[in-house]
Amino acid sequence: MDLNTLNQGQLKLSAEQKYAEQLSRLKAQDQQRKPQGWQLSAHAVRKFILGDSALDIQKKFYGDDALVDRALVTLMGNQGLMLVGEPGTAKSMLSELFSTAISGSSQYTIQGTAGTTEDHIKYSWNYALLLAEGPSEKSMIASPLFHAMRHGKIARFEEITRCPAEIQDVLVSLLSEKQMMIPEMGQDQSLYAKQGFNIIATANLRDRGVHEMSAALKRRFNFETVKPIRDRQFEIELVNIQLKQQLGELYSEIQIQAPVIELLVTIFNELRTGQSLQGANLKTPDAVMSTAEAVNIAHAAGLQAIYLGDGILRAEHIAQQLIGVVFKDNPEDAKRLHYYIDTVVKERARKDADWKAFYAASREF
Amino acid sequence: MSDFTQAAWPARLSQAMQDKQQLATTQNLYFAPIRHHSPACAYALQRYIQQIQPTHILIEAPQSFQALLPSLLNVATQPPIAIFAQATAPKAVTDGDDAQPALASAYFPFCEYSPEWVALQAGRELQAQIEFIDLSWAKQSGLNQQQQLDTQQRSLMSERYLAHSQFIQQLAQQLHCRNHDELWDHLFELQTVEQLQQPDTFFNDVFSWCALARLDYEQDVLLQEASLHREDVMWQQIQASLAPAHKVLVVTGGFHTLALIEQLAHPQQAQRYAVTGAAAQWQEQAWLIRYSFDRLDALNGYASGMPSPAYYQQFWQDLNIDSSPSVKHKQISNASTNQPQNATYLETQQAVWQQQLLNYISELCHYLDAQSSLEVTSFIAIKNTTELAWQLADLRGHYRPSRYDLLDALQTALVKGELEDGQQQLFQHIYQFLSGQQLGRIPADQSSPALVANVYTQIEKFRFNLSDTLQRQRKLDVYRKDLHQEISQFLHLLEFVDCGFAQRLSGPDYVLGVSLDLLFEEWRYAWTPSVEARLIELSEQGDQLQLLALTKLMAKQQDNQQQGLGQSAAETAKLLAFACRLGLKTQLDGFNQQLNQFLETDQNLGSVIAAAQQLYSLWHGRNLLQLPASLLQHSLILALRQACFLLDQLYDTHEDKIEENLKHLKQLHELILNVQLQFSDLIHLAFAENPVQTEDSPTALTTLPPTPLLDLMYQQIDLQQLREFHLSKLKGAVDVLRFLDQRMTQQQLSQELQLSFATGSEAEEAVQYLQGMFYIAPEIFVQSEVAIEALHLLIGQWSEVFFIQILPDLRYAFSQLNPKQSSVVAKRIAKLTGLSQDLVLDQVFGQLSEAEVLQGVQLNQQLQQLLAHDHLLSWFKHPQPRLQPTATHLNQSTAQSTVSTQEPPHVK
Repeated sequence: MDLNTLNQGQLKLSAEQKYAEQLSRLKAQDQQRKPQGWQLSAHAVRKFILGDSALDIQKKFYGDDALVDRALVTLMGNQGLMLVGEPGTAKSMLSELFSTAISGSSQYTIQGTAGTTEDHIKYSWNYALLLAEGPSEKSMIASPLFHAMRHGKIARFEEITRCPAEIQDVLVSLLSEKQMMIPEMGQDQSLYAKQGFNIIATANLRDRGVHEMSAALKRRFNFETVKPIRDRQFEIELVNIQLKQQLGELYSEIQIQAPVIELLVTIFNELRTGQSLQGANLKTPDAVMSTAEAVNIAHAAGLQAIYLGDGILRAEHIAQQLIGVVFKDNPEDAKRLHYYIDTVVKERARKDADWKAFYAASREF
Repeated sequence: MSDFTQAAWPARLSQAMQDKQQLATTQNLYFAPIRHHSPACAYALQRYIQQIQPTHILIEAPQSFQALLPSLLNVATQPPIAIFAQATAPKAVTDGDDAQPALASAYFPFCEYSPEWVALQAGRELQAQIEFIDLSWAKQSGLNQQQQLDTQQRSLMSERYLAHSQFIQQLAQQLHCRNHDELWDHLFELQTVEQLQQPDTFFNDVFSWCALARLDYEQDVLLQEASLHREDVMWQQIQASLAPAHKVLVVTGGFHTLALIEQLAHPQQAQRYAVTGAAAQWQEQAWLIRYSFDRLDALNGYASGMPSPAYYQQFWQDLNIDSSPSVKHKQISNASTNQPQNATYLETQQAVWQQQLLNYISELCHYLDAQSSLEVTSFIAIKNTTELAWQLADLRGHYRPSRYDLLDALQTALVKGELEDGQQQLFQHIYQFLSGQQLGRIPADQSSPALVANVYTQIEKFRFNLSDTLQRQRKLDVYRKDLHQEISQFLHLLEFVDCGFAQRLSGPDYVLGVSLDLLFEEWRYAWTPSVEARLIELSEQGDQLQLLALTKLMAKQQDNQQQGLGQSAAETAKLLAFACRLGLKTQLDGFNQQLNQFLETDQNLGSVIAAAQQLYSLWHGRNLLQLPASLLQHSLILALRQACFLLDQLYDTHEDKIEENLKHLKQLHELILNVQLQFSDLIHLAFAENPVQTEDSPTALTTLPPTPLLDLMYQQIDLQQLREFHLSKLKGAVDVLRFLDQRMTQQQLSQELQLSFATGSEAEEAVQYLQGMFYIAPEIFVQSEVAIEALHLLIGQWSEVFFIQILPDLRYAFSQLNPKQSSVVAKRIAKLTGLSQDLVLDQVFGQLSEAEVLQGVQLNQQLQQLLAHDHLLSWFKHPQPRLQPTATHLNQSTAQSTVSTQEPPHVK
């Protein structure tokens, strides 16, 4: 069974499925020199991610164009690329886009967890075959990283800091020597990475339940910090675009008023930065208040409006969905949100109908 | 420049472009629109001047700077330098309204790669006539004054419009640049040498770029900024220099070019803006001063030019190496030959650039390593940064890495971990390196204000390092080396006039009277352009630092007088101290006489005592400051005597006054004791010459007491009055002082103490008495058992409510004791209350009532009687192991039984 073919009703499309057309257009137009093992030239990858109006390719990563340049240059070199930053800043999306554009596939992925073992990173064995035939290529179960090395692709390592430090360190010699030793199959057996191989890891350095990286591992990566979007106007625009993408066909059935999205972004912006538009200091919740979360709320509120409401996205929908995001495990957050609603929102509710609706709806919780 | 397409140009711009061509062909008038401090503009301008060979070069700088042109063209002048201009408002304006600032200062900096500087140099070589054509700074200031009340020094080359223009913002977004600086680098700085050698195209591009930015501006804003007035003047100047035989090149900020072209091409449509009224009355002066790279960079935040001057300096040098003869030769030969050779030329050129960048990065990384802000070895840092920088340049289409390519490469290569996670230091060092510390040079014969020249002569004499703007420290051995003392005086003078050159870190301070025992002075100094600017500002007032300092002292005195402190001895003493420290010897006598006069007339006890204190501090530094000791001594004794006579102010019963007087009393006593110790002969002499007449002690010239000052002090204090006015605090203090001076025996003191704590005496007064005592010498109380006992008894008589009421005062009084003293007192009191010494206070059970304890004692007695009756008393007193209850005892060996003897018997 081929897992990669496009299935009916597939929940989320991978980047290569979603942008297949754009990629082929870029490939056809690409005149510049390609780095060894890459499907596209660096310029074309840049166009793919930052957009190009001439080729009708929309921008996919916002806010820090220079970061994309730096990351591309890193991927051309010997160092791995480590994307760090707060949750919800589109690190994984960026890594997916890079691997898709460079290698044509984003599927060489290790999803790091606290339970990840060395086998998941290198290889393990089909024990029945191992017993029957001894160590051989056939009895070996290769990891995504193994495949990426063999075919010269970009491997992705998601949430690397969730793995224990000793597991992370498997990468150290892999990255510096660009080969994987397979002692089980004899002294001469080792896998040499093909040109085009590199690793994009994503990590969160400050979340709860993450492990520190060793200095040796850090040295083998170039770090790029993905920052949340600071410009409010731009964030509003972005939420609108993303909402349209997420709703897909449903988008035509919903009526979205600009002030409602503005309200949502304002709330997120204020709670994230700890400063109201008027400049007052607010208490920030521990919960992640990223743009991605704002889009999720807008999406959920939109669905509520379509299926349970009259097809008009209102501030009260936002209020009902927002509570779910901020109320997670921290009771303090609830207090902070209450405080925010009782002060900032209440004040605005006096003058603005949308804020008033939001205030009224959030009072119910 | 393929990014600009003419098709999208607004009509106004296309028209201006046509006019520009026409002006060139018909009137021989050429424009070089520039960005200030841009190496690319400078390079292209160099070429342009060579190409056009103009007879006249008109530069956008205030006309009034024309006088400085010879100095600017002097070969000895080496950038970075600046013209420092200062405009003053006409008298009428300032007198009318005090709130308005009368001064407006500005710098007009030049560095080696400033297009204006290049134009000056090239113009000199061509012997072209060079003229500054902008509105004079005086008039600009006048206009600014009318528009806004902003006293801050501003740069004359403000370029805010570039940062603000919407057009530029959109373009930056489209070209993936983060701000207008990067965009500028991308579009202009990184044009290859070949492109820059076509100045016509280059300047057309700059022109359209700046013009598009200008189109976003509203007329009102331009008027506000005085841009329109300036352009009017520039236009007139250009018009005036046009003639058939002339070839005129106009070098201005690109922002103004559009307006100038329009005015020149269609003079009949142009609107005139003349400076009139008060704004036209302003006066100005300008000087050429040395400038520094870090200032040039710092300016950038809110004004003009480009960031990181040291980086662009290097860039400029590299640009000029590219066009050095050998390379040029190759290029010419290549033009005529075939393709493959062209490739080799490019390769050589590439190698040159690579080498240049490598050198720069290696210097930078070694600098970072030296500052220990590298996490990797410097080799790895250099290697990675260089590789990344070149690849970034390649990706972004630059022929060599730009400043942002370099910064990006540094970030990627050197930051391990999340940004803003302790990397500030790294970036700070990087920016420091890119900014540089270089200072310019100006010709020695440069006319500078006399004060500046004088200060420089002295600075040179004292061998301060002025070659850059780094902070340095200098230690002065003021007591042993005369030169160092001179230096110290000089630095103090500079500090006193707020020059900002040096700052004293440590050393004896005779004005504040602190750290008098230190032998060395430590100073931190750094030369910055603002030091020179300040000196120029000050030079109006005089040509010698001493003179300035004196003026300032006099001004202070006048200020004092205005505030009604003119007669204050303390303030005058302070001025005297300043004069001493600054070495204003000629003025010492004057101040001293004034002080003596004020000492006799000043009726404020505090002021006189403060003056005495100040004099005493000065007397300490008499050797160092080379002061006439006798003069000081005389004044000091005078001050102390006066203070004694003013002691009748002690009887003020105001609560605040009591505290103050207590302090004064202590201070005065200390001073008298010190002075007596240091120069008792003199005191005698003074008293002999000028005997004191008092009622209770008839003067006896022959038998002068050994301590006349102290006697005088005590004579002036009337204990009876203190008692009458219930000034227990002062009374306590005076009693202790008397005891300390052996004017009272221990017994007498104890009596006094007992008296004040005696039954029936008012508790508040008793506590105050205690406070006064503690203020002077707490140890007296601690050592006096009688006193503690008396206090203990007194407290015993207070009701609980009253005790709580008085508690804060008591606490305050006892807080003067140190922990050891507290412990001594506590032990005494513990003894008095019958607690043994070892008892910790919290083991005393306060919750048991007296009755309960008595009951317990009774029970105990009954039990003893019972035991005695049963003849068991001996057992009770001498516990026997044998009688212990039993099973264990039977099994135990004798060795164990010795252990059990130590256990107390269970008697129940």
